[in-house]
Amino acid sequence: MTDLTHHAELEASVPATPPDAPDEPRRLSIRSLTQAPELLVFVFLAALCIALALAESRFVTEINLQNIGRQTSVLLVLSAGVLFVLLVGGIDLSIGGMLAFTSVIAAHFADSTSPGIAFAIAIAATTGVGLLNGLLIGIAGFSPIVVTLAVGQVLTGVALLITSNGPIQPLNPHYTDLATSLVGPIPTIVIAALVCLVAAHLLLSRTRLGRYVYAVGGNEMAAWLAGVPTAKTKIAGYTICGAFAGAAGVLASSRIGSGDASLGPTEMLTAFAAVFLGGVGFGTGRGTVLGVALGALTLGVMSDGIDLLQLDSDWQSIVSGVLIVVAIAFQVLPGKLRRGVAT
Amino acid sequence: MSSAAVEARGIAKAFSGVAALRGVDLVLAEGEARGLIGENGAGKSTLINVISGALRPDAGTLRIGGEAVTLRSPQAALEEGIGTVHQQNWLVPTLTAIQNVELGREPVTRGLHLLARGSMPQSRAALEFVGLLQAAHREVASLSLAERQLIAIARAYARGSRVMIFDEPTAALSPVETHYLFEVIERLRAAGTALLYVTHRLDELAHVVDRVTVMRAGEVVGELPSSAHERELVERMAGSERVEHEIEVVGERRRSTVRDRAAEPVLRGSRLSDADGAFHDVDLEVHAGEVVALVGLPDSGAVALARTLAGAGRLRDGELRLNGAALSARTPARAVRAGIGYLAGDRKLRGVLPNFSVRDTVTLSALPTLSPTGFLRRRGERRMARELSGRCEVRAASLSMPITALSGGNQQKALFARTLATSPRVIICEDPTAGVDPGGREALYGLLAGACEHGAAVVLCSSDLREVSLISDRAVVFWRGRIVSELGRDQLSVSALMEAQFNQGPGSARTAMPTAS
Repeated sequence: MTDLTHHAELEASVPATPPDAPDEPRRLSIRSLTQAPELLVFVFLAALCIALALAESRFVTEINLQNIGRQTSVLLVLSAGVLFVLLVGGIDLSIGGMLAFTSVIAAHFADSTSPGIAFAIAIAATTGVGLLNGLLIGIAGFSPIVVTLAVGQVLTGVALLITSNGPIQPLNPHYTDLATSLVGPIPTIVIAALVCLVAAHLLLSRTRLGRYVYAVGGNEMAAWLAGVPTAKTKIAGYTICGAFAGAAGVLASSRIGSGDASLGPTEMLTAFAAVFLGGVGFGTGRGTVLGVALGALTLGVMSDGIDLLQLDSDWQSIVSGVLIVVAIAFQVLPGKLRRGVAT
Repeated sequence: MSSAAVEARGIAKAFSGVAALRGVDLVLAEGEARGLIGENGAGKSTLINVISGALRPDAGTLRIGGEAVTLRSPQAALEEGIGTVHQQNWLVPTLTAIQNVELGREPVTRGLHLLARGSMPQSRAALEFVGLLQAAHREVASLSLAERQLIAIARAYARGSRVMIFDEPTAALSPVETHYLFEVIERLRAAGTALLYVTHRLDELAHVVDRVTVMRAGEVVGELPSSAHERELVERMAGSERVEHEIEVVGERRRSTVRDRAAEPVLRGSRLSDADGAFHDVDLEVHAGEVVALVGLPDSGAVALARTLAGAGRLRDGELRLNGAALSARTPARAVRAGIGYLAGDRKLRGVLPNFSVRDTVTLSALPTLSPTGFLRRRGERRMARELSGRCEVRAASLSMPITALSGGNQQKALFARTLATSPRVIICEDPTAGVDPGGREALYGLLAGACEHGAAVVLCSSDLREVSLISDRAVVFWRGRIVSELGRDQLSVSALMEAQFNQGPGSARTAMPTAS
């Protein structure tokens, strides 16, 4: 919630014709931290990086940074997709199944065609599945949780069927190029992920569709009455999520060099963690690609740090869970305290 | 004489600084039947919410049977002997009728507190009292609205309630159901239960109550016998001297801009009926430059028609024409594209997008024309938002601040600007100036008048009858889904509008009476 009293004072002293100044620069304060969750994650990420750099000399090395980039790419793309469905007020539990499905499809077609074409086929297939999710939810009005859970089950099942003889390992050595090659010092897979993020950001901030996505998430009824095509917008949200999950699946498959039906569950939960950490609300229509990227990066750096410090990797999920609660507390509690609500 | 069943003294209640009740006294004797009437916003609902435990008053005392009480919840009020029956009652749809009657005080086995088999005799007696024993074991989901009301009555009766509050119980009932409800109410009276009966339908009062308390602007302004003439009741509710005074303050009455009544109307609907059965066989014409008000009680179909014209309802029958061409406005998006602008009522639920800035709020409906390629044009958006929010007198420090940071009145002005942003040929508005200060009101009326001068047609739904009488060219009056009368420009006044709304009940004994006093 925004702070009403703060602005009410401004409002009273202002002439009727408002000046249209560009967004005024924000000062760093507790208030700005609670109003811009991106800033909160950024501060935390920076602190984490400084602490790791001081504690472990291997943290700031080219190899380790490339490693973080490779590890986080899949998560970055997957959580950018999740952002779209959360913004339209939904949820997508099929992205885990999509990940397994795409990796298997890509690996399956890699030797009969070429890796590039196989990747395109795989992404197109999950985009279609996303469209199906969208139609069932936006037009038929099914519950998002039930539909996407069921679709995810089916996709995992299909992936298992295709790989009943074990994971498919394409013979074409170029299959893993995406993950292993470098452009200058930067891994190609990181560049691919960045391209996806930039595309997501431009879609949300520069297109009419993006504005509609936020409108549906903010108040679906009000958006509909104002002339927003809410059903189409929701369908688009799920379709885009499918496309991004497909892209994430291709990256993951290239990284492990195979099509593997066991991909999915862990990645899906981590993606949701990244999104919530990045300040995306559940059913509030608030959230940005920047926040999500910072959330994903934080989890990636944390996982790398746990490896470097040779801690038990089980700590990762404990710390990320605690972080999410802390992040949400930062967003919710100040408003409650101000209003004196103790419930 | 014994002590009063309910004695409320000096009850005051304010919502975010706005007084809804200003020291109200209400004393209900044992076994008395009392009506409670008043305009929207007069404070009726707040008062009964206080008495029924749903709201805590800021000041004042409440005595039940002579004892001072503090009610913390409707449940607590029920235990104290005050039952409430609403238009729609909170029952658990998946439980049976008798389970709902017993809800919260189920018979349990001793020791383990498991639910006992069977039901309590007083629950069955209560269902028999309201004539619903045969449905005791049916799920509430399968029962009608009227039957659910009877269950709510039975629930209170089973607990031995001495006072029963009815909040517009007949608003959604058919005549037969209403008749039966009155029979049950008669039985309650015979059993010695005191009644507090809130209604918009003045013709019902004589059937149900002895005396009527009239409220206006948070105060009790009179107590009359229920045999009083409706005109008298209406005048008490409206406070006619004050009305005339306020019209002078708020401003000039809008000059009529209707050019040619013989010309093809901008909007023409013939034999319109909607899918929900809210209105039937309605004919409506709105000419260029004309403001037509649709007035009527909350369930009369007036608002439903406005929503349907805006694409937010579903037509079952009839034909709509816009400038002579057939119009199919099945969604608000299509209606906007066709040239119909809609300002929905209930700002918080149906208007404001809480995650949007002022600028994005104003431009939302106009995006298809503002960004034809699908890519946003920020400069164009800024220009449009600046221009329109200036004209609508939106007071905001910056157009990029969140819309929720504005006061309610300024949010409303921003929504008004959004409606004008598409340059609609037909403007449909529900309560367009809700929460807007007098200066802002004048600006918005001026904008509506300006749109009319440019040939727009306006359909106005407003619970503010002063507003209706100020800016409309004529008012079409709805009763139970049909148009029953029409008031021309010269006949528009608050009391005339109110009388027309209240005084239309077909089959009501009162309408047969001559209205001249």
